[in-house]
Amino acid sequence: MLRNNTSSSALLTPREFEVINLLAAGFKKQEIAKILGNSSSTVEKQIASACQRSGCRSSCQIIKILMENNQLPL
Amino acid sequence: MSLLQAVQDQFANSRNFSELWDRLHEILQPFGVTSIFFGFGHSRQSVNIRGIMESIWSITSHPEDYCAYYANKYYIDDDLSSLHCLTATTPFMWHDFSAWGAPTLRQKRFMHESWDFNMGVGVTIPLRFDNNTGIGGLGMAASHMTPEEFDAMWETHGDSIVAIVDCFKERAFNDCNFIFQLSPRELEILSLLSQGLVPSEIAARLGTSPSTVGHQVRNARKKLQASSNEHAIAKAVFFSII
Repeated sequence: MLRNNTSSSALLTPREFEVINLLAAGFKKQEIAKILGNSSSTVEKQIASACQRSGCRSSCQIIKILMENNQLPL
Repeated sequence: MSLLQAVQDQFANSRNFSELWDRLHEILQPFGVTSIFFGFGHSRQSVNIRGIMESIWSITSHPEDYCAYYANKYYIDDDLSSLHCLTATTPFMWHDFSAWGAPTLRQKRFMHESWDFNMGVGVTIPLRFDNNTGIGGLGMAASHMTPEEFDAMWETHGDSIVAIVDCFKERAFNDCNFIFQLSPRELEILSLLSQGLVPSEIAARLGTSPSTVGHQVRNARKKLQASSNEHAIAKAVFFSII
């Protein structure tokens, strides 16, 4: 589970972090896929894997914790 | 009592954001201000990739035909006064062409065409909040003034107007939900979403139906001018309303 420490974003791979960052900026999954040159299903998988790594249940929860740790927004 | 103290009192006594917004108009009207745009955002990167209008929360009293033209034909990125807010903190005079530097073709066209709507004379004041990570701006048009008249007015009253706008900002951002006006239930639902609950779980927890929760989430998104649940959470956390 992400906790209040400075390295919580380190739990995510750079790509996963980028996906979460774009979600927080208001992009939809299809748009993120287009920006990153992926398919929508890859983006879905990256979100699921980001949740698993961070012990969070949703991208909303990851965003909240990263923001509380000042790792978002960029 | 000084003018500024009177303004502060008037702002402090506003019961909601619409009232504050109306009072700002009443206070600026004697200076020749005919309409106002107020916008702010939480992420510079979002502004850079998504464009300003898609990233910010905004409200405006500019004429509808001008807003429609602006929205249809131009990106706000073609409007140098808005771009100015991202990088600078000094007031930007719309009609001072020397301040436009070396505009692109689109920026030049925007600059000329805004005169057709009597929106060529005015000023944009950049705003900063939340340790400078939050960026915004307040633009005011003076449709009945010539550039010379506006400059003369600004020479005398510019400092007061900047101070008035600062009071407005302080009042508005004192509690951000004052601006967004989310209901207690909408705030509760956003908070549960940010704890990782899905809508069906939220409905069960609150003893209501998933469709009601869905409706309330959409309402919250609309009030926050957010394009997704994730965007709404990011805004709500950034502006400390959940």
